[in-house]
This record gives sequence, C-alpha cells and structure tokens, in this order.
Amino acid sequence: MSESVRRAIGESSVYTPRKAKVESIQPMTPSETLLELRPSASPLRGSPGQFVQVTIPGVGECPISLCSDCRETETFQLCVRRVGLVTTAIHRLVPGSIVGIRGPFGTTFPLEEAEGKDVLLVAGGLGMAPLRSFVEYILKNRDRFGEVTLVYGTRSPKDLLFREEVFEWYYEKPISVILTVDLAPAGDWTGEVGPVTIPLRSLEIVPARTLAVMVGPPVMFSYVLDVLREKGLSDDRIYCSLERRMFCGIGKCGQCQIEDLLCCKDGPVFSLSQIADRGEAL
Amino acid sequence: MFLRRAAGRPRWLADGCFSWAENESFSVGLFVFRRRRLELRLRGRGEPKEEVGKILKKRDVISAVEALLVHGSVYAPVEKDDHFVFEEIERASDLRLEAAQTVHSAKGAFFPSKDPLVRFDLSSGDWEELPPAAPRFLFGLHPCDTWAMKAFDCWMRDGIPDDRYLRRREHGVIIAVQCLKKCNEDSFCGSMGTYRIFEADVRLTPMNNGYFVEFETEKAREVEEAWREILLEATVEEERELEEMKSGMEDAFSGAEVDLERLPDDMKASFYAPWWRDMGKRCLDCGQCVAVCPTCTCFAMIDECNVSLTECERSRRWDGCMFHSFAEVAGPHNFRSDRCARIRHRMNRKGQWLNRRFGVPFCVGCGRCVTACPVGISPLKVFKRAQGGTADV
Amino acid sequence: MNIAKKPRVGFFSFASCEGCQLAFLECEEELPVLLEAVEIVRFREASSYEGREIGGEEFDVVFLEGTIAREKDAEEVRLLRKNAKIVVAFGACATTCGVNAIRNTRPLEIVRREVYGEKAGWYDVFPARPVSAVVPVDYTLRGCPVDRTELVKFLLFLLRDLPAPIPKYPVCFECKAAGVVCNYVRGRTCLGPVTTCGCGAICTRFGGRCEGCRGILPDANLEGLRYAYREVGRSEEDLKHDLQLFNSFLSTMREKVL
Repeated sequence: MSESVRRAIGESSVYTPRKAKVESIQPMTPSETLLELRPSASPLRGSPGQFVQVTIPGVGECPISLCSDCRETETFQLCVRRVGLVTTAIHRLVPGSIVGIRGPFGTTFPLEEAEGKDVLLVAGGLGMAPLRSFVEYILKNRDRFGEVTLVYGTRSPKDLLFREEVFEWYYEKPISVILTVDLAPAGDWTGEVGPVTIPLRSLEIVPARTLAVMVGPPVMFSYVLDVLREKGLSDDRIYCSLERRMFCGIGKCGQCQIEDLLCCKDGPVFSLSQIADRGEAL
Repeated sequence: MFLRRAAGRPRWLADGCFSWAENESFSVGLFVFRRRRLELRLRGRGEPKEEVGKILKKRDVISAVEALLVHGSVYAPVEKDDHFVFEEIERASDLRLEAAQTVHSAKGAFFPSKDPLVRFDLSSGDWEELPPAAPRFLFGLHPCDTWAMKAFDCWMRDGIPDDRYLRRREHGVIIAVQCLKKCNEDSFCGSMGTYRIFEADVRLTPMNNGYFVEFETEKAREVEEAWREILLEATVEEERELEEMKSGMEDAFSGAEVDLERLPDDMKASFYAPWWRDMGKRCLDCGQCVAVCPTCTCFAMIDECNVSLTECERSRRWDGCMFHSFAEVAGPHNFRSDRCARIRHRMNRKGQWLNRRFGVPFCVGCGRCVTACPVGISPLKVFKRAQGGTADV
Repeated sequence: MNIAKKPRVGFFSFASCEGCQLAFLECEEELPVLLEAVEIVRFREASSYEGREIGGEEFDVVFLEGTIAREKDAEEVRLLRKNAKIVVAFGACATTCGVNAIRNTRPLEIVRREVYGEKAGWYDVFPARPVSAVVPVDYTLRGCPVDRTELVKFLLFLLRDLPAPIPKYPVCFECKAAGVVCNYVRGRTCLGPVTTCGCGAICTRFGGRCEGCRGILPDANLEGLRYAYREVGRSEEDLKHDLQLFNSFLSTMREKVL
C-alpha cells in the first residue's frame, strides 16, 4: 500500500465503530429517552449540530444528533425517539451496556456566525434534541450572544423534552423561552396553543442583527420559513438541520443526497441560502 | 518513433481529448482534460523508461492469465449462459477477453455487492473489523470501466476517504483493453468522451493477431515480470498495424451527440422540464440500472445474526436511489416519493451534480443500463433531450 | 414478549398446500436452536395430533398460512387474532391470497359445482381472501413457499422482540446483484420489476421468470410494466394472465371482498 493511502485511511476502518459505555439512560417521555455515553478510548469532542452513528451490536446502526455540547466533556448525551429497529434496541439499554459509536460527523450549528448577534431558535418536537446542545453552548458563553429566544412547540405538554431544563430557562430567563403545544388538556397548561408560527409571528426581531436556527419535522420548515422571511431575515441568516436516511455518515452511501448536497457531509446543518433553490431539501 | 515512450505514454493519446504535460520530477502528471477545461491532479507515475513495444499473441493469452494466477486472483469477463460477467476466474481458459460487454461493470471488484465490514461477538460484546478481500488483477476492463473507476476514485476519496475501497483499489492491478469500436448499439462512449483508456496499470490494444502491451505504472511491474517469457517484441509491421488500428478507431467513435461542457448546466436548466414525467410513467423502479452501472456507489448497511444469536455480521450491500424506500425517513416522510423525482435524481447524479463536483463524467456511456432497462430508458436520450433535442426520452 | 419465558408459538393453516409450514420444517440446521428458544404449542403439520379445533389458548406469535375461504375459517382467524400478541401472515396464500384467488375470477356457483359436483351444497364457501383481509396482521412473510433464509432471519428478530425490518424493493435488484441477465433482454417477460424482494431471485437465478408469488409492491408501476410487455411483443392480455397466477386478488377481487 502506498504511503499516501496509508496516511489517508489511518489505522482502523471508518466503518468500524469504537466502544462507548452507557453511563445513564432515563426516559423523558413515553417514546423518548435520554442516553449518556462515555467513549472508552478518547472523548467524542463533538460540536453542537453534529451527529454520531450508534451501533447496537446484533441489531444495527442509526444516526442520532448530539443533544449535549460535548466539545470539552468526557461523556455526551443523545435523545432517542423509539421509531424503528435500532432505536427500539437503544431504549432497552441499561447503564453499563456497551454500544458502538462512529463520528462525530457533519456540520455544526453556526456557532461563530451567531456570536454578537441575537439568536432565534425554533424547535419542533424532537428538533429540541439537537438544539439543546446549541442552547448549552450559548449558556456556557452567554456573554458572546445578544438576545436569545427559543420557540419550542410539541404535540402536547407531556411530549416536552428536557422538561426541567426548559422550565428552568423559562423561569430563570437566561434566554427567553416560548412554549407552545398543538393540543393542551384543559386547565394545567399556561403556555401557547397552536403551531410555532403563531408565537413566532408576534415576536419582534431586528433582522439586521438576528440569526435564526430551526430544527423540526419536515412539515414545519416551510411554514416557519415563511414567517422568518416575512420578518425580513435573509436566507443566509437562517439555518436549519435536515434529517435524511443515512448509513455511512461520511458521504459515501449516497442515501442522504439532496440534489448535489450530501446531508451527512455538507450538512446536516445548512444555511438556507445553500438549499433554497434545491426543491428537494425542504 | 511514437512507440519509444520517452514521455511515459504514446503520443497518440495526446492528440485527442487530452494533452499531457509533465513537470521536472515526473512524479506528478498534470492532465488537461480539454473538453471540460479542467485540470486534474493525479497520482504519481513510474519512472519513464525507454523500451520496445511488446506484443501478447492471441494464442498466448491463456498462458498470460495462468502466469497471473500464480501471483494472485484474476477478475475478468467469463461466459455465463449466453452472456459475459466479471468474476474471479478459476481456470485461465475461462477468460473471455473478446467479450463485447459484461452485464455488470467491474465495480464489484472493489465495491462488492455484499461487503462484510465488522463481525460482532455477541457473547463477549466485542467486535472486529473484517479485512477487505479483493482480487489482485482486473483483466479486460474496457475504457469506459477505467473512466468509471476514476469517477469511483473521486467519490470514494472525497472528504473522509472510504478506506475499504481505497485498500482494494491500491491492491488491484488494472489491465485494460482498448476498444476499437462500440460494444453494441446501446453504448454511447463516443458521446461521453470515454472511449480511450483513462488510467490503467497495463494497457492492451487489440491487433489482428494479439494485443499491443504497454506497462504504465509501478504496479504493472509484477505483470511485466510475470509475462517476461510470454511477450514478444513488436516488429516494425506490427507497429505500423497498430497505428492504422488507432486511426481507424477514431472514426468508429466519432459523432459525439452530447456537449459535455454544457451538460451540467443543461441538466440544471431542465430540472423541472415536463418530459421527466413521461419517463417517470415508464420507469419500473426495478433498480437494474443501478446494479449494472459502473458509477453507482450507493449502499446500505445490514446486520445479520447467526441463528444462535452469538455472532452478528455487518455488511454493506448495494442499494439504489430508484427505490421508494431510499429517501424515506421516520415520520414517515419521503423526499422522493414520486417516481419521476427518483429517475431525475439518478440522471442528474450522472449528468450534473457529480460531474460538476469532481470534473469527470459520472456517466461513462457504457450503455449497460440501457441494455438492462426493460422499458428502454437511456441516459443518452435524457442528455440529448436536456440539450434541446426533441426525441422522446 | 419476555425473553426469559419461551415465547408460545402456533402454526395454523387454512386453504393452502401447507408447503410453507414444510419450508419451516426444512430449516434443518436452524431448527434445534430455534426449538430451544420457543415453545411450539400448535403445529399440526409437525405433530401426530390430528385434531384441528382452535380453542382459547394464548399465543405470543401465531403463523397463519393459507387463504380464508369460508366463514368458519374467518371466525377462527378472528379468535386467533384475539388470543395472539403477534399475527404473522405466512406465505403467498395468506399474504396475497395466492393462487386461490383465481377462483374469484369466475362465479362461485360454477366453481363449486365444478369441484364438488352434486355435493356442492355441502360446502359453505365465500370468495377467497388473504388473512390480512380478515384481521390486521403484524407481519407478512411472502412467497410461495416462504423463503427459509428470510424466515429464520425474521424469527431472530421476533425472538428478541424487535421490529423485523421488511425489505421493500423489487426482485430485479436481487436478480441483478446476483449477476443474472434480465429476462426482458432475452425477449421474455418477467414480473420481477414489480414484485417484492426477499427471495434472493431464486427463480430467475435458475433460468426461470418471476411469477410474482411475493406480491406486487404497493407502489409498483403497472403502466410501465405494460410498456415493457409491449416492448418484447407481449400484449395486455399476457400481462393480465401473468398477474393472475399469484396476484388475482389484487387486480380483480379486492373491492368485492373488502
């Protein structure tokens, strides 16, 4: 093998997972669980917005967004919704279980671009998971950012993720938080009711110094986008994290291709100016 | 005398779509791919050497393969029923070097349809990487296959490289055969500019009585060594014959129907054209085009356990963008649920996005997909239509 | 399902040749391990017990083979659905109604007279339908007969109480990955382009054509297939005829039965 190739490919294959131990696992909602992993060799050092491929030996592998800011921590957290084969198996893990991880892969949220600006975060459902890592990053470096607003919508109050943290932000106000649910049982919900676009529309922002990041289900994007554009935000100030089927995480398997972009490699965080003219993206 | 290869490769190659410049150290060659005005930095080549042309006589082909089999496995066209496929050959006599076209491309040598990656030991919770086995000699690749290999290289080296592919690629020695005419009426290599061998370790040019042999790279040394006793020195007549062959060849591939330089832009312009719908109505999503395509790289990963659930093997398998489930995510939401969007995606991968990204054609015009398609969908027809043609796609 | 407790499994067959149960019994290498892992409660094909009454037994998984062709069978299936956590439609007859649906293409009275002669009145039958037309099923294992490899893989997911992934692409891809020349290239027709994969293209690999026993894919392009038939000089009638063998139910009777 030639030296250049040897240097390019390293010791072990990019397809071989490395080991990580389950530190803790706690259910957050009936279908979502919070998993904390400790890589056995060296820490993950992933940045907000990136994802890892999680292997459950004997079952399979799936991509999961980092939900904690683990640039400097020994462990990292993943919020996993039970939807398919691998996520079902993840829900059965117990502390001490060994899983495989590959990554971190993909682009990060606009951490540097957002500095000195007001940040508007829009989360829909499970979209809160990746955005939570960004919020953690912002809280650690609070003085580098202006006004930070989180608009978070879920189906119902019981589907709220990171409930305690979100309520802490809500009451302590390190960032302003607006919560909204599609359906609220009578009585015990004091937040908004309806899609995220409703509180978003009444929000006052200064487009010139605002940067928006939205993460959520595909149906949410176009509605939120309309509102953000109405408010005068230009496309290069709007970021979103896209979800696609992916196997390799390094731009080889072709599954996540969005026209000429690869979601795993060129994304998952895209600025809207990158994807606005790509009909398939949103 | 052009056969004396002072510049490492014969001059005739410099006449067509390439020009060939070299820097002083000769370790890095710089191609100028004139038709796309793109410069590609390529790997270093071996030291140039002065030598006489070599001939592999037809009657010696079998012994040549036998000589290779001593050194390693040989992946080459063999006959199966009434057609040809690339396979690892067992006996030298199985080789069908004269095979017009194989059903599949040669991509399976470096990118097998099933590639076991990792074995998990479920009782101990440990796992190990499985070594990427690969054939040593790829014998009988056509020019289109060498271009496809270049496309594959670009894709697999981009960003974080695919080490499994690269290891196999490094290990493999490519022995390509120059075509003198189109394989069949489905191929359109003339239009895609891929009818000359792009890169090969050893290149063979067919002649009346055998093959003119050129050793191109460091890796070719092993072949050169193995064939030392088999090859004959070319006579003056044979060299003349070779030149005639080559000039005749140019005519056989003339009449390009695609403007490659404009193709990505034209594909982009016609992204929302109504004629995609006509094709979407016919396309069966059967994915045969994907399986036979030499530049289709998509795969999925599948984990399979043994029956006692003590072991599990993860392998990657070919997958294809023509399938409904390909762009599906949890939700469920499908980003290309429409058949027309899927065929358009595939065609744009071949004609627009990757060409632009890497500067090499991602459709090499071999026409295998055209042959395989039950409803006669052809990239050539699509490209022509995108460039203003009026014929049905 | 609890891993510690062996899952209780039952095999039941309705109108069919019972070949799919036989396919399970042919998993000779895997059977010792599989039988260790499950408790087979009912499996008439593999037991000396000759009764076929279906009672109130509880099951973790039932495999239902065959077509539902009379009210009595439908009732049994409903009972099994009630008593079982997981219902698997097993084989072509149970999933697509298979060859039994050919019966539906002609008036039932004529068919009954033809088969049972003057005793036609003794048998109370209704238009044949797959299990899924009677009760909701959790999984479908396709094929005539079911593919052994696929069956074992499926059981391994079931044993671990994991949702088994069911592939959704056409036979063609498996056929091409195996390096087989397309039947259409040879001027023959084939239902591979529209048929659900999982069989490893066993028919075409051995020189046959795909007859569609695994059922037409939900989003199959039959219009395109018509075009492909025309391309090799076959007519619309030929296509109808080919689809009739295993997919009559889909094309002719679905509305009438459901």
